[in-house]
Amino acid sequence: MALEGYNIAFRLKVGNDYLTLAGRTQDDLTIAARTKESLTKDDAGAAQVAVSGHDITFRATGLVDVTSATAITRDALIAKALLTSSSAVFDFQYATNGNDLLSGQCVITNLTESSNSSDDATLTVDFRVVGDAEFDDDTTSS
Amino acid sequence: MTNHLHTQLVSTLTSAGVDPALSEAEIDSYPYVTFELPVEYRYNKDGVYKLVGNLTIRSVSDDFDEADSLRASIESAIASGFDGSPVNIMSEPEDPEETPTVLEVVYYTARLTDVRKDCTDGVWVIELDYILNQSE
Repeated sequence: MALEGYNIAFRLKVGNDYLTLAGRTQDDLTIAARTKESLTKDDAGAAQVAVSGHDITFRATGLVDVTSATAITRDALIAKALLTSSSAVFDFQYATNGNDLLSGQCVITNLTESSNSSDDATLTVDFRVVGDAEFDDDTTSS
Repeated sequence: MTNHLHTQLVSTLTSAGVDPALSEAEIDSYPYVTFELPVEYRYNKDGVYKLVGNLTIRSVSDDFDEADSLRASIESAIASGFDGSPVNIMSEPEDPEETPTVLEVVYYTARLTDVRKDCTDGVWVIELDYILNQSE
Protein backbone atom coordinates (compact mmCIF):
# COMPACT_ATOMS: atom_id res chain seq x y z
CA MET A 1 0.00 0.00 0.00
CA ALA A 2 1.34 3.40 -0.91
CA LEU A 3 2.04 5.76 1.94
CA GLU A 4 0.62 9.27 1.77
CA GLY A 5 3.41 11.86 1.77
CA TYR A 6 2.13 13.75 4.79
CA ASN A 7 2.78 10.70 6.97
CA ILE A 8 6.54 11.06 6.51
CA ALA A 9 8.25 13.76 8.54
CA PHE A 10 11.74 15.12 9.05
CA ARG A 11 12.23 16.52 12.56
CA LEU A 12 14.96 18.39 14.36
CA LYS A 13 15.55 18.23 18.09
CA VAL A 14 14.72 21.44 19.93
CA GLY A 15 15.10 21.17 23.71
CA ASN A 16 13.74 17.73 24.54
CA ASP A 17 11.33 17.46 21.63
CA TYR A 18 11.65 16.63 17.97
CA LEU A 19 9.82 19.31 15.99
CA THR A 20 8.85 19.49 12.33
CA LEU A 21 9.59 22.48 10.15
CA ALA A 22 6.70 24.94 10.03
CA GLY A 23 4.76 25.05 6.75
CA ARG A 24 6.49 21.93 5.43
CA THR A 25 5.38 20.70 2.04
CA GLN A 26 8.08 18.24 1.04
CA ASP A 27 10.90 16.21 2.58
CA ASP A 28 13.47 14.48 0.36
CA LEU A 29 15.82 11.80 1.60
CA THR A 30 18.86 10.84 -0.47
CA ILE A 31 21.21 8.00 0.37
CA ALA A 32 24.21 7.94 -1.93
CA ALA A 33 26.76 5.14 -1.66
CA ARG A 34 30.45 5.98 -1.76
CA THR A 35 31.96 3.36 -4.01
CA LYS A 36 35.41 2.21 -4.96
CA GLU A 37 36.13 0.37 -8.16
CA SER A 38 38.96 -1.93 -8.95
CA LEU A 39 39.89 -3.38 -12.26
CA THR A 40 42.79 -5.78 -12.38
CA LYS A 41 43.69 -8.40 -14.96
CA ASP A 42 42.16 -11.00 -12.65
CA ASP A 43 38.82 -9.18 -12.90
CA ALA A 44 38.73 -10.25 -16.55
CA GLY A 45 37.20 -6.95 -17.65
CA ALA A 46 34.45 -6.86 -14.99
CA ALA A 47 35.06 -4.01 -12.52
CA GLN A 48 34.71 -4.88 -8.86
CA VAL A 49 32.74 -2.37 -6.81
CA ALA A 50 32.98 -1.95 -3.06
CA VAL A 51 30.81 0.35 -0.93
CA SER A 52 32.94 2.21 1.60
CA GLY A 53 30.23 4.34 3.17
CA HIS A 54 27.19 6.50 2.51
CA ASP A 55 26.42 10.16 2.07
CA ILE A 56 22.97 10.85 3.50
CA THR A 57 21.26 14.15 2.82
CA PHE A 58 17.82 15.60 3.42
CA ARG A 59 16.10 18.44 1.67
CA ALA A 60 13.14 20.02 3.43
CA THR A 61 10.90 22.38 1.48
CA GLY A 62 8.10 24.44 2.97
CA LEU A 63 6.19 27.67 3.06
CA VAL A 64 7.68 30.54 5.01
CA ASP A 65 5.88 30.45 8.36
CA VAL A 66 6.84 32.90 11.08
CA THR A 67 4.01 32.31 13.54
CA SER A 68 3.80 28.58 14.25
CA ALA A 69 3.85 27.69 17.95
CA THR A 70 4.31 23.95 17.47
CA ALA A 71 6.95 23.72 14.74
CA ILE A 72 10.28 25.31 13.86
CA THR A 73 9.59 28.68 12.25
CA ARG A 74 11.55 30.30 9.47
CA ASP A 75 13.29 32.72 11.88
CA ALA A 76 14.48 29.85 14.09
CA LEU A 77 15.71 27.96 11.02
CA ILE A 78 17.74 30.92 9.78
CA ALA A 79 19.24 31.31 13.26
CA LYS A 80 20.20 27.61 13.17
CA ALA A 81 21.71 27.96 9.70
CA LEU A 82 23.98 30.75 10.98
CA LEU A 83 25.44 28.71 13.85
CA THR A 84 29.01 27.45 13.67
CA SER A 85 31.23 24.63 15.01
CA SER A 86 29.67 22.08 17.38
CA SER A 87 26.50 24.10 18.01
CA ALA A 88 25.68 23.74 14.29
CA VAL A 89 25.16 19.97 14.71
CA PHE A 90 21.55 18.96 15.34
CA ASP A 91 19.87 15.72 16.28
CA PHE A 92 17.32 14.65 13.72
CA GLN A 93 14.65 12.05 13.24
CA TYR A 94 13.14 10.90 9.97
CA ALA A 95 9.96 9.12 10.80
CA THR A 96 6.90 7.48 9.35
CA ASN A 97 3.65 7.81 11.27
CA GLY A 98 5.59 8.74 14.41
CA ASN A 99 7.77 5.62 14.20
CA ASP A 100 11.47 6.28 14.06
CA LEU A 101 13.09 5.18 10.80
CA LEU A 102 16.38 7.08 10.59
CA SER A 103 17.96 9.11 13.36
CA GLY A 104 21.31 10.71 13.97
CA GLN A 105 23.00 14.06 13.68
CA CYS A 106 23.09 16.53 10.83
CA VAL A 107 24.29 19.97 9.82
CA ILE A 108 22.58 22.56 7.63
CA THR A 109 24.54 22.89 4.41
CA ASN A 110 22.24 25.23 2.54
CA LEU A 111 19.21 27.42 3.13
CA THR A 112 17.36 29.19 0.33
CA GLU A 113 14.35 31.43 0.75
CA SER A 114 12.39 32.32 -2.37
CA SER A 115 9.79 35.04 -2.54
CA ASN A 116 8.11 36.33 -5.65
CA SER A 117 5.36 38.87 -5.98
CA SER A 118 2.38 36.58 -6.57
CA ASP A 119 3.01 33.27 -4.76
CA ASP A 120 3.62 32.20 -1.17
CA ALA A 121 7.23 32.58 -0.07
CA THR A 122 9.03 29.24 0.25
CA LEU A 123 12.04 27.96 2.10
CA THR A 124 14.36 25.11 1.14
CA VAL A 125 16.84 23.72 3.64
CA ASP A 126 19.51 21.11 2.88
CA PHE A 127 20.82 18.91 5.67
CA ARG A 128 23.77 16.56 5.59
CA VAL A 129 24.03 13.70 8.02
CA VAL A 130 27.28 13.61 9.99
CA GLY A 131 28.57 10.39 11.49
CA ASP A 132 26.47 7.25 11.32
CA ALA A 133 22.72 7.40 11.02
CA GLU A 134 20.85 4.82 13.01
CA PHE A 135 18.44 2.76 10.97
CA ASP A 136 15.49 1.27 12.78
CA ASP A 137 13.67 -1.18 10.54
CA ASP A 138 11.37 -2.60 13.23
CA THR A 139 8.58 -0.58 11.73
CA THR A 140 9.02 -1.83 8.19
CA SER A 141 5.75 -3.38 7.11
CA SER A 142 5.89 -6.80 5.59
CA MET B 1 -9.55 25.14 8.15
CA THR B 2 -13.05 25.32 6.71
CA ASN B 3 -14.23 27.47 3.83
CA HIS B 4 -15.68 30.79 4.99
CA LEU B 5 -14.98 32.74 1.80
CA HIS B 6 -18.58 32.73 0.55
CA THR B 7 -19.96 33.79 3.94
CA GLN B 8 -17.39 36.57 4.25
CA LEU B 9 -18.05 37.81 0.72
CA VAL B 10 -21.85 37.86 1.04
CA SER B 11 -21.81 39.50 4.49
CA THR B 12 -19.28 42.09 3.30
CA LEU B 13 -21.40 42.98 0.29
CA THR B 14 -24.78 43.02 2.02
CA SER B 15 -23.46 45.23 4.83
CA ALA B 16 -22.39 47.71 2.12
CA GLY B 17 -25.91 47.72 0.65
CA VAL B 18 -25.09 45.46 -2.31
CA ASP B 19 -27.42 42.48 -2.68
CA PRO B 20 -25.53 39.71 -4.53
CA ALA B 21 -27.04 36.67 -6.21
CA LEU B 22 -25.54 33.54 -7.75
CA SER B 23 -25.10 33.73 -11.51
CA GLU B 24 -27.86 31.20 -12.10
CA ALA B 25 -30.42 33.29 -10.23
CA GLU B 26 -33.12 34.92 -12.35
CA ILE B 27 -33.47 38.59 -11.58
CA ASP B 28 -36.08 40.55 -13.47
CA SER B 29 -35.12 44.13 -12.62
CA TYR B 30 -31.99 46.26 -13.00
CA PRO B 31 -29.56 46.85 -11.41
CA TYR B 32 -28.37 43.54 -10.03
CA VAL B 33 -25.15 41.85 -8.97
CA THR B 34 -24.16 38.22 -9.59
CA PHE B 35 -21.03 36.33 -8.73
CA GLU B 36 -19.18 33.05 -9.12
CA LEU B 37 -16.64 31.95 -6.54
CA PRO B 38 -14.87 28.63 -7.15
CA VAL B 39 -12.48 27.84 -4.30
CA GLU B 40 -9.21 25.90 -4.35
CA TYR B 41 -7.63 24.33 -1.27
CA ARG B 42 -3.87 24.65 -0.77
CA TYR B 43 -2.17 22.00 1.34
CA ASN B 44 1.06 21.59 3.22
CA LYS B 45 1.96 18.44 5.16
CA ASP B 46 -0.05 19.65 8.17
CA GLY B 47 -3.26 20.09 6.19
CA VAL B 48 -5.06 22.99 4.50
CA TYR B 49 -3.20 26.24 5.11
CA LYS B 50 -4.92 28.51 2.61
CA LEU B 51 -8.04 28.80 0.47
CA VAL B 52 -7.89 30.65 -2.82
CA GLY B 53 -11.11 31.91 -4.41
CA ASN B 54 -11.26 33.09 -8.02
CA LEU B 55 -14.11 35.55 -7.78
CA THR B 56 -15.90 36.93 -10.80
CA ILE B 57 -18.52 39.47 -9.80
CA ARG B 58 -20.62 41.50 -12.19
CA SER B 59 -22.77 44.53 -11.86
CA VAL B 60 -25.54 44.72 -14.48
CA SER B 61 -27.79 47.64 -15.35
CA ASP B 62 -29.43 49.39 -18.30
CA ASP B 63 -27.90 52.63 -17.00
CA PHE B 64 -24.11 52.98 -17.05
CA ASP B 65 -23.92 55.33 -14.04
CA GLU B 66 -25.99 52.90 -11.99
CA ALA B 67 -23.80 49.91 -12.96
CA ASP B 68 -20.63 51.91 -12.33
CA SER B 69 -21.78 53.14 -8.92
CA LEU B 70 -22.56 49.53 -7.94
CA ARG B 71 -19.06 48.59 -9.12
CA ALA B 72 -17.58 51.29 -6.86
CA SER B 73 -19.63 49.99 -3.90
CA ILE B 74 -18.41 46.44 -4.59
CA GLU B 75 -14.78 47.56 -4.79
CA SER B 76 -14.88 49.52 -1.55
CA ALA B 77 -16.82 46.77 0.27
CA ILE B 78 -14.31 44.08 -0.75
CA ALA B 79 -11.38 46.37 0.12
CA SER B 80 -12.71 46.78 3.66
CA GLY B 81 -13.96 43.21 4.21
CA PHE B 82 -10.78 41.58 2.90
CA ASP B 83 -8.17 43.95 4.34
CA GLY B 84 -5.95 41.31 5.98
CA SER B 85 -7.04 42.00 9.54
CA PRO B 86 -7.71 38.97 11.82
CA VAL B 87 -11.31 37.70 11.90
CA ASN B 88 -12.59 35.38 14.64
CA ILE B 89 -14.70 32.45 13.45
CA MET B 90 -17.17 31.83 16.28
CA SER B 91 -18.99 28.61 17.13
CA GLU B 92 -22.78 28.57 16.81
CA PRO B 93 -24.08 26.69 19.86
CA GLU B 94 -27.55 25.18 19.56
CA ASP B 95 -28.32 26.20 23.12
CA PRO B 96 -28.85 30.01 23.06
CA GLU B 97 -27.60 30.29 26.64
CA GLU B 98 -24.21 28.90 25.72
CA THR B 99 -21.52 31.47 24.97
CA PRO B 100 -20.03 31.17 21.46
CA THR B 101 -16.32 30.38 21.48
CA VAL B 102 -13.60 31.29 19.00
CA LEU B 103 -13.06 28.28 16.71
CA GLU B 104 -10.28 29.76 14.60
CA VAL B 105 -8.74 33.06 13.57
CA VAL B 106 -8.48 33.64 9.83
CA TYR B 107 -7.21 36.41 7.58
CA TYR B 108 -8.94 37.51 4.39
CA THR B 109 -7.16 39.33 1.59
CA ALA B 110 -8.25 40.33 -1.92
CA ARG B 111 -6.46 41.33 -5.08
CA LEU B 112 -8.28 42.92 -8.01
CA THR B 113 -6.89 41.39 -11.19
CA ASP B 114 -9.19 42.56 -13.99
CA VAL B 115 -12.05 44.93 -14.78
CA ARG B 116 -14.16 44.58 -17.95
CA LYS B 117 -16.87 46.99 -19.04
CA ASP B 118 -19.19 45.90 -21.80
CA CYS B 119 -22.47 47.06 -23.29
CA THR B 120 -24.79 44.76 -25.20
CA ASP B 121 -28.24 45.91 -26.43
CA GLY B 122 -28.18 48.83 -24.00
CA VAL B 123 -27.38 46.66 -20.98
CA TRP B 124 -24.13 47.49 -19.21
CA VAL B 125 -22.15 44.64 -17.62
CA ILE B 126 -19.13 45.52 -15.50
CA GLU B 127 -17.15 42.43 -14.55
CA LEU B 128 -14.54 42.37 -11.81
CA ASP B 129 -12.07 39.53 -11.25
CA TYR B 130 -10.60 39.08 -7.82
CA ILE B 131 -8.29 36.59 -6.17
CA LEU B 132 -9.55 36.11 -2.62
CA ASN B 133 -7.44 34.42 0.04
CA GLN B 134 -8.41 32.92 3.36
CA SER B 135 -5.41 31.91 5.45
CA GLU B 136 -4.55 30.99 9.02
